[in-house]
Formats: sequence, C-alpha cells, structure tokens
Amino acid sequence: MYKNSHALKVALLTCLEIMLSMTGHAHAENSKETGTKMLSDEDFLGKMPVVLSASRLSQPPAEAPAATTLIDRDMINASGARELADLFRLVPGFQVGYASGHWQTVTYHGLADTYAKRLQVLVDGRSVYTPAFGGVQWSDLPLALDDIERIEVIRGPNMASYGANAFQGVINIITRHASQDAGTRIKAIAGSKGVAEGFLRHGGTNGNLDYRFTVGHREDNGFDNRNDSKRVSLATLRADYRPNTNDTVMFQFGLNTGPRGMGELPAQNNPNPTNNEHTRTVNSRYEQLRWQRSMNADQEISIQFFHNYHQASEAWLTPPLKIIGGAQFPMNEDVTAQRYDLELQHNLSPFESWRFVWGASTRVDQVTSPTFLGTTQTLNHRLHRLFASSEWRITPAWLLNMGAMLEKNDITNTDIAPRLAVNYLINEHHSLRASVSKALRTPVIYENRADYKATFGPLRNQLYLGSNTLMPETIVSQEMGYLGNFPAAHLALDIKIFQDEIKGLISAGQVSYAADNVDGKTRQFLNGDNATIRGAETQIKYTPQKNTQVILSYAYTDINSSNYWIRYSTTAPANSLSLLAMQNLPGNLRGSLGYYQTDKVYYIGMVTKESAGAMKRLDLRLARPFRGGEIAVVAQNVLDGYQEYRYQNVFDSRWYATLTLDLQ
Amino acid sequence: MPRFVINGVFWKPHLLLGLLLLIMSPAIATAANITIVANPQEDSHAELIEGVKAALARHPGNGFNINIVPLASLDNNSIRERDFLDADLIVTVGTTAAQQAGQLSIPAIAKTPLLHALIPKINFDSITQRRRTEANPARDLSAIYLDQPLPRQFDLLRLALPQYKRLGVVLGPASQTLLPDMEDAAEKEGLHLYSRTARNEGSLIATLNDVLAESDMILAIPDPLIFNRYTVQNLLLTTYRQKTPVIGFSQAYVRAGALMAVYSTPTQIGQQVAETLRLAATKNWKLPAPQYPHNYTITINHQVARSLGLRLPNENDLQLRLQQIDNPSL
Repeated sequence: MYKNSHALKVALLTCLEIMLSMTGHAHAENSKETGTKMLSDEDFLGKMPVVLSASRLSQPPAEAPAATTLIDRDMINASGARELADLFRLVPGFQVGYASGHWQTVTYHGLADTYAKRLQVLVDGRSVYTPAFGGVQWSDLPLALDDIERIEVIRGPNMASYGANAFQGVINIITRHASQDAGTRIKAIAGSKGVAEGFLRHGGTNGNLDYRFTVGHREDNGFDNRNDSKRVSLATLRADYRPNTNDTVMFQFGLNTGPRGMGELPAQNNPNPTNNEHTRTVNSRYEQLRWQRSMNADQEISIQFFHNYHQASEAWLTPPLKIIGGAQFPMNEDVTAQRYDLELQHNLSPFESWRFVWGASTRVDQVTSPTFLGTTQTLNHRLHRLFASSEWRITPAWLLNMGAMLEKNDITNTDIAPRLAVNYLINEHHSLRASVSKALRTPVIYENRADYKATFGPLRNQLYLGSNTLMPETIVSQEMGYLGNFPAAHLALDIKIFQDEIKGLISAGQVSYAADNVDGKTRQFLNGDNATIRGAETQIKYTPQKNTQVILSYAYTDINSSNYWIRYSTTAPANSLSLLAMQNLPGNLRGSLGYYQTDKVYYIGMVTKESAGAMKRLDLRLARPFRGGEIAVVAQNVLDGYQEYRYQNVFDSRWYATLTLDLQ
Repeated sequence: MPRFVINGVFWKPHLLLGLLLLIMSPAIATAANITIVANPQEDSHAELIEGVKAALARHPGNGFNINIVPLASLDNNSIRERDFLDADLIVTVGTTAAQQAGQLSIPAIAKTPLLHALIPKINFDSITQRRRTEANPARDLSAIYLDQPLPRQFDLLRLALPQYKRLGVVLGPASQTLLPDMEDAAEKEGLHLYSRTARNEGSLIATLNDVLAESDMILAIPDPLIFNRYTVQNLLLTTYRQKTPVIGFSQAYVRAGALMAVYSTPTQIGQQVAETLRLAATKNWKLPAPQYPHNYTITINHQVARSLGLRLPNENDLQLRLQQIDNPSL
C-alpha cells in the first residue's frame, strides 16, 4: 500500500465529487426550509444527525484512566502564545525548549534532545511525529493556532487508545468543526523581533457541507545573534459533509512551506565548523479523509485514511576547512519523510455500564535521506496494530478501565502493550484513581538504519550508525491520582503521583568503528540506559467569580538513571511551575498573565557549559473585543532575559499586537 | 388510494343488534364516523393512526368508523366530498393537514368539528387566528398539541438538575411571544431566566454565546429559525464547548447530543386522540379545549450526561416524579 498515491488521488476526487454533486441540491432544500415562517412538524418528529458522537465526547476527568490536562480555546487566547509549542508550558510535567527560534522540542519528563521521541501527537486523529527521527517539528505543522478547538493532554502512556508512540504521554489536538467558523476572519500580528503574521480564514455552509479554509503567512527573526529566522506560508482546508443523518465525511488538506535559518553564525564560536549558516526549505503537507457512521451516541464506526508528507531541503557549502588545505565541501541534509495510515475504529456500548472500543490500523512510514541513511533508496517501516479498550462501571462508584494494543512492525516484530486503571468516585466532588500501564517505543527509521558519514577528501568521519538488533524501549508506568472539587472555595484540584520504569532507552552511544579514520569511533544507536522517573504533579483551578480564572500547574520530577551512555538524570527540571490568570477588567478589557518557572535542564547532547540555566518568564496580555473583532497586545517575558535550551538562545522581552476582524 | 376502515364490532353483524344498541345507549345510537386527514406515508402519522385504533379497540363498547383521507387527495380536484359529508368529526394530523382541511370549500361540512393533532401550539394558534377572522366563528375547533407545556419542562429541569439555577433561552422571531409565559414558569420554579432573541440565522451563534455566558443550562425552544436540522450541529458543538447542557424537545434532539428531553410520541398522542373522540361522542361532538399531551416520554443521553460530569436520576424515576407533580393524586 506504500505505492498507492493513485489510490489516494481516486479517493480524494471521489470525495470532492460527492461534495460538489450534493451541494446544489442541499442548498435548494435549505432555502426552502428557511423561507417558511411556520414551525415544521419535522423539527419535532424528523431525524437529526448525531452531533456529539462517542468520539467527539470527552471523558470526564474523574473517570479517565490517566491524568489529563485540557487546554481550551480561552486558555489558548489568554496565554498570548504565538507558537503552538508554548501552550504545553501550561501542562504539569511538560517542558518546552527552543533549540532555535523555529525548532521547539516538547517533552514530558525529560529524556529529550532536539527531537522528543516519546510522545504521541495527534491532530484530529492524525499522528504527526516524524517517522525519520521521532518527535514533532512544531513549526512545520500545517495548522493555524486559531483553528484549534481544544488540546487534550494525557499525562501517561496509553497505546490502546491513542496508538503507537503513546509512550510517556499523548497530545491530542482537536481543530474546530468547519460549521463553527462561518464568515470571514482577517487577522494581523506585528511585533518586535521581526514578527509579522497575516491570516485569512473563511468558513461557510452549503446545505449539508460545512467548509473552512485558512491561508496565512508567518515570519520572525528568531533569537538575536542566531541564524534561525523563519518564514512560513500555510494553507489548510477542512470540509465536513453530512450525506444523511448517520454519516459524516471529513476531509482535510494542509500545507506549510518556507525557509528556515539553520547553522551557526561565525561569531558563535562554532564547535562544528561544517555547520555554518545556511537555509532549510520545508515543504510539509497532508491529506486526511474520515468517514464516520454514528448509529447513536453509543455506537459509531469510523474509517480514516491520511497521508503526511514532509520534505526538508538543506544543502550548503562549508567554509574553507584548514585541516584539509582550505578546501570547501558541499553539505546536504535533505530528508523526505512520508506516512500512509489507514485505521478502522468501532465504538460501542452494549450495556449502559460497559463501553468498548476496538479497531485496527496499518501504516507505512517512508524516509529518503542519502546523507542520514547512506542510501538513495527509500526505506520503509510497516506497522500493523490491533487495539481494544473497555470501560466497565462495576457499580456507580467503581470504574474499571482496561485496554491493550498488539503491534507488529518491521523492526521489532510483535509487541503487546496492556493497561489497567481503576477509578473510585467517592462522591460527586471527589475521586481516586490507580493505574498501571505498559507501553513500547518502536525505534524510528534513523535509529534502525542510520549511516551518517561526512567525507572530506581523504577523511571519513562516521557520525552515526543505526542498529538492526534494537529492541523497543519499554515503560511500566504506575500512577495514583486524586481529583477534588471544592465549590465553596471555587477550587478544583488534580494530584498525580507516579513512578515510571523505563528500560532499554535507545541512545547514541560512542563505540569503536574502524572505518572511521578521523578518531576511529562513531555513535551507534543501542538499547543502553534504564531510567526510573518518580514525581508528583498538580493542577489547581481557581474560579472565584465569573470574570476571574486562575490555573496553576506544578510538577516535581526526579529521574534516576544508570547514566552510562547518556546522562538522562538531568534532562528534566526538578521543579516546574506555570500559572495562567485571566481577569475581565472594566472598559470591556480582558487581561491575562502567564508565569513560568523551571529549574535548570540539560538536553541530551548539550555539554554543561552550553546548557541553558533555570528560567523565569512572565507574559502579559491585554485584549479588547469589539463588535466584529478584537485588538490585543502581548508582552512576552517582561522579566530579565533567560536562556532557551542552550545559553546562546536568550529569550529577552518582546511584544506583539494583534488585530482580528470577524466579518459576517 | 388505500382506505382503512375500522368496522365497529356492533355495527357489522345485523340490524337487530343495532336496534338493541339504539335502545340501550341513545348517545351512540349508530357508529360514529371519524374522518382522519393524514399522510399515511409519514411514519409519525401512521404511528399516530395506529395509536388511535389500538386505543379505541381497548374499549369495544362503542363503534367508530375510521376513514383515512390521504393528505395528497386534498390537493387536486379528485377530492371526494363523501369522505367528509358523513363525518361526525374531522381529525387532522400534522400542520399541513390542519391548514388544508380547514380550507375545504364544502359548505355542508362547514360546521363539522375539527380536531387538530400532532400540531405545535404556535402553528395551531396562527392557523386558527387566521381562520376565525375569515369566516365561521361558530365552528368547533380543538387540538392536541405536539409540544409540551412549559411548566412540565421547567419541572423536569428542577427534578433532573436541581443544582442549576440559571436557565438560558435563545428565542427567534416566531417563539419570542412565549417569553411572558416562560418568565412566569421560571419564577414558579425559582429559576433565573436569561433570554435573548436572535433576529436571523447569522446572529444565532453570537446570541447563543451571549446567553451561554449567563447560563448553567440551555432550554431549546422550538423555532423555525433557531432549532432545526441545519442549526443543530453548530448549536450543540457551541454549547458542548462551554460544557453547558441543552434540554431538547424531541427524541432526535437527544440522539443528536442534547442532554435530555421530554416529548410525546405519535402513539401517545394517538391514545389521547382516541380518548378525546370517546369523550366527544358522548357530548354530541362538543370538543374539549385545546390540550397539551397527557402522556409523554423522558429520554436522557447518558453518554452526554457522563461527559458533562452530570449524574441524573434515571428516566423512570423522573417520569414518576413528574407525573406526581402533573397529577398529585397519583
């Protein structure tokens, strides 16, 4: 199925045809309907589509099998974030680092370098971590912040429900349904550090078809003294079509292209002279088609197909290298990565006390990169999955969640990932949860097949080497949680304590390698270290009155690792804290404040003297909505500058202003 | 055209028995002729007619000839006057039948009483208002509404969601006349009512957001502009986003994603039509005043309730408690 771009085209054309053929008819029906002033008996007796279907309904936190954090539309606005990655600072235990102005790494409980490989990240059910290296290239996602409805973050493994790579946690991004954005929105952002953004969004309804398209351009200069500017052109389309009251078809298309600054400026005392400043041109796009049949709120079947395409072109010339007689050498780090994925899912609730989801999926990941993989061939990684999870309400107070996923892949063959959770609802305000789950991380293509060598004349420097004997990383996660509501005090409290045992962490360990004639060594991927992560996390939501909301997150994380190949134990901050406060002010003003504080973190591969220090950051936002729009001003980090990821990346004060116009 | 005829048990056998009946029970001397104008192709109409027949069959003491006249036959010139001439009473099913049957130009039936079934109150009011001013003020008109009385809906809110006090309502141009009654009903239940009127479909979501900011729950009020198949999607998504439950007015609404609804099925309304027929037959076809449905059903969308973190009493409990309020003698 990996050569099925023809099948994809056919599927897309068919979808488009259905939409076009139905719109004329449906429109006529609609205008007839609204033309009559009399109430229709049909409004009482006729059928209606299932709008809040099983997959659209979110689980109440007290009944969820793991700790969850919800980032809703109001929080997205109030945070003042301009980059999607920044939102995860609001989630306890998450850390966000800017390796450069456009290269963010988002991880839960450390263990990350520029790629955070141990999270599943879904956008409307589409898995977006890169098949080449793992991790998400956040700036390359074809996604406008304004199109996001909410983000559900599951803090803990859950492969049975969220699929491959749901190892330490899951980020589940849900975009707005096309019907929610009727009309035209024009948005412009301008600010310091070369920040300039413009968006145009138009949404409409044509009978049974709801559609939305967004086009936008974003650019900024990145950090001072770094070659890390970005220019992003993006376009997305979402169409939701209802041929009848039971079926819905969703189609999405997205595109993100543009140049990004890479490499080190000469002034940066560059330890790697061949990584001089250059440009990376990104071409990222996707297509997604989902058919869903909702028999009722209890039962639903869906079939989804998507294709992700990510191409990065990165070719440049080294400066004259003294050790090779002042010669210059061409460099190339082109990578093309694709994912084809087909999934079937069936939700059902045979009894009121029992809900069940099962499904199957098949996927092909493809990567082409002559430099990183040492071959011009495209390498494939196939993955098949069977999954089931069930929720049984034994009594009104006791809830049992069970799930398992069976995975078969090309690299590590067949693995199983089970989980079990028990929730005890003490009363309507208090609940307890205990869960244990096992999950796996299958190596990505680079870890399996890396063959990255730099050849400069007679010198052959073997930088990385893959391994075909890798085992999947495993995690056994145990957690206990408490959720409490204190209406009189206007407080909602969520506490989690946990212990994660991670075995066989895949690390690039330094080993002898004879073919390398520079130092006789290379870095080879191997199942090296183990780590035990313990900690406690809390979220507190305080809503003293309608116009005030305060959300506090705090996490304490302790990583105990063998540290043999990699010093994993310092890759998460011991303490991290975030606070988001929203307050409506007189004069129809909306004020908000975001405060973030974390202890020092070392990302993998950073030597001590290069690493960023602890951080404190205060963001302020003031907005004034008016009829048909909003104007807002955001100041990011009004405190002293702090370092992001490494010491050169100084995040000093910056500001931007936003003008939003909503035309009906 | 198919014709369905119920033959009264005592009418068919022979004249002697008929005579005997005449002596014993002067009020129902002969079988009554009831003409029902409906669209039998419509599931809800067929269901209602079945409900009428089943309820009448449970009381074999008197005879009713039920003559079904398809709605489509009124449209053209093939209308058969004799379908109506013998009728002691005409029952219409649905709003369209109510409109058309009232306009029949058959002078001989100008005084035949009309009972409109399966009709929203707002439609009945607008049809009868027009008709009364036009002609024939003396004709006996009545109805069994399709919608539920406001106090019943408000009672349900209090029973199911006692913790919520702020009730939000979005009205449209057609439904805003209900506001005074709603304010009364809200006051009786100790609810704080917050209502706004949307002028057109374009301002619906803005109006809804305005109401959502002030409400713990939303009561859906039937209005051709506000709550229909085309707006339901947006409406339920917007309210769900605010984690605010919607109380609907039909089974389909609950299936779509409303938290719950109280409504009457066509079968339940059919039973009430039959009761009304039996009553009218003993009163020389004098119809009672228009009435709301006596029998109703409560449906809860348990998945939505769960997702909103709401624990509701079950449907049977709610129904029993609501019936006790409706009729304290039970």
